[in-house]
Amino acid sequence: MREWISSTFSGPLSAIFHPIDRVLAPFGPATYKFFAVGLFAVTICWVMFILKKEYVNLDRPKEGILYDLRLWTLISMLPHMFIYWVWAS
Amino acid sequence: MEDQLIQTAGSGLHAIDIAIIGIYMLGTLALGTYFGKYVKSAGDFFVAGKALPFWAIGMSVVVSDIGATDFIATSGAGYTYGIAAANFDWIGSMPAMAFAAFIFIPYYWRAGVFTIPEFLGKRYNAVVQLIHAAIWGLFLLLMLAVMLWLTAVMLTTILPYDVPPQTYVYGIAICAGIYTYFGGLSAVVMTDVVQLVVMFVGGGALLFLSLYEAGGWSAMKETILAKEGMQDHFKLLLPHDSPTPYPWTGIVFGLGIVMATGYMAGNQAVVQRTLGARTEWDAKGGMLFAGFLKVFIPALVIVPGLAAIAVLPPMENGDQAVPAMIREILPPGLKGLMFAALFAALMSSVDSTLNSATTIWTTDLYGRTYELIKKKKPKEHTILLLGRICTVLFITIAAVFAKELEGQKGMYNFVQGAMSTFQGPVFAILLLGILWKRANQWGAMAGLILGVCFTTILDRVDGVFVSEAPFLFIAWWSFVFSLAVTVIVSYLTPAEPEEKLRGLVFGQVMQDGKMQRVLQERSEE
Repeated sequence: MREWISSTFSGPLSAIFHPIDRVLAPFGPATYKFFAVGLFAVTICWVMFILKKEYVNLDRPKEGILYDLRLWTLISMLPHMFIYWVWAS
Repeated sequence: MEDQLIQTAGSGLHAIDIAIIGIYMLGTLALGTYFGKYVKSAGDFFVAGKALPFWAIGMSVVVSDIGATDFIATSGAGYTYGIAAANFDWIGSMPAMAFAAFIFIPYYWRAGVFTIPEFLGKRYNAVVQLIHAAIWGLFLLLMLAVMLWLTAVMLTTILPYDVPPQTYVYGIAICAGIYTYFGGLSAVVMTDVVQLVVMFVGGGALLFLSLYEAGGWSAMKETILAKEGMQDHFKLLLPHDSPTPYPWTGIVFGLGIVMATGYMAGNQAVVQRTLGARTEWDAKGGMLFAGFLKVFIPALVIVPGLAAIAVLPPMENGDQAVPAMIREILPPGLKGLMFAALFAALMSSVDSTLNSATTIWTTDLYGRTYELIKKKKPKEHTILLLGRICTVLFITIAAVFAKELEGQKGMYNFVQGAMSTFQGPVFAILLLGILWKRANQWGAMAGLILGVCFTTILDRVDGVFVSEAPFLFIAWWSFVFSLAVTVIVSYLTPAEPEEKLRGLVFGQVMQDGKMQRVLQERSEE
């Protein structure tokens, strides 16, 4: 079964994915860092500025900044983001 | 596999080490069983009576995600590939946990469901629910057996007792089975909290002593970078054409976007804790707290593996690194604590998987089938009784079946491969189900079934991707494929009625009157 699948689909799949590999191979460390750090930055911005404050904090037990999940998002994401900023390349 | 790789780390166990391990095991059993007195209904058993605070959810999510074999295998990957192995706890957790917290969990939680298949049943139809439940129900059972067997083999090789692995399998199964039977999710989560503390203390001791022996971080880094073939050991992301399992494209897209989010938002063992939250705020906060704690996990499991490069003679296989470090550098007392940490990692994974498998089999596979045939829901006490029967049945089946895995050396890889087979398609229909109201039941069925077929093909054709272990690429492309199929088929078939989608799609106002009353009553307490 495995051999049949491999012989039948190897050609078409290679024709699709090998050109993609050739396009992506030359990108360097600056690109890795841009995408990795960017993923964290976009997520932080989405929670902090795009989602409604009421939606993010629905059912919060108390008012006040310590119970604001937007701040929690920032605090939990920044260490990860810093790590990729330093070690991504 | 491990028995050939791991040297005897426990040969120097002292009485104090054995006492620490014994106290830990008895304490866990007592604590877990204590929570049995709070279980009065199916809701108490499966979702802890919706009473869990954010800190317990966060700690439980983290510890459930880490098994004893991860301590060995992840450290081994750190030894072999460097800090790139840490991606699974960094970019493979945090963006995904934020997506899970703010896109998926509020909708599961508001729908008042016990399981993800149950949500898919409400959003799409019973067929999607049953297919999803069957996939996860079988996978979790298999995982339970694999987890028990691999860890028992590991314990056989690192503990200084001449007993067969099956003895450890039964011991662990009885201990985790008893408190999961009595206490349900509350027992699982509260023992997880203690287990996380034990893991952090035991793992922390190994971390600090490893760094001390290596002369500190800078000296360790300098020593490793001076060795041949280890110049990339302090790079998190590697080129796209890197033959390692960690090329940057696979890590950012396959892991960061698809596998991690699919895992955090689609794995019953993770999500079940948030469904037991006392409020929606606690459910979201629990995931964010877990994401914060995840930052520290690579320090506990990767750094000892790296330190082994600097401190110990070269090893053929990186999986020897942590057992060797335990044997060489931990003093009496701390060695017992480290073994308690390994037990904690194991027990937390076993109890979570057992409770989640039970929930899916009871509420989805039995409950939904009963509902379809009898046209009414099964009684509450029947579900609770069945949940407890399934707990005993599944841990027994897993413990007995575990022995059959002896000699199946590719089993762990098979399980990982199986998971990547359905992770992309399942995530695609979950994502579209919540974000796009035009996604309908026909689109979801086509996306799920064709997506799994496509992944099976990708997995079986060699030479398509450059990586030696291309499961990250497979996850990404199967996700893209299922997404496209679901969109196309949904457009070609009639849309779902608005009434059916109310409260289940992002951006719509929750209008479930019953749930609103429950929320109102809770806020007034």
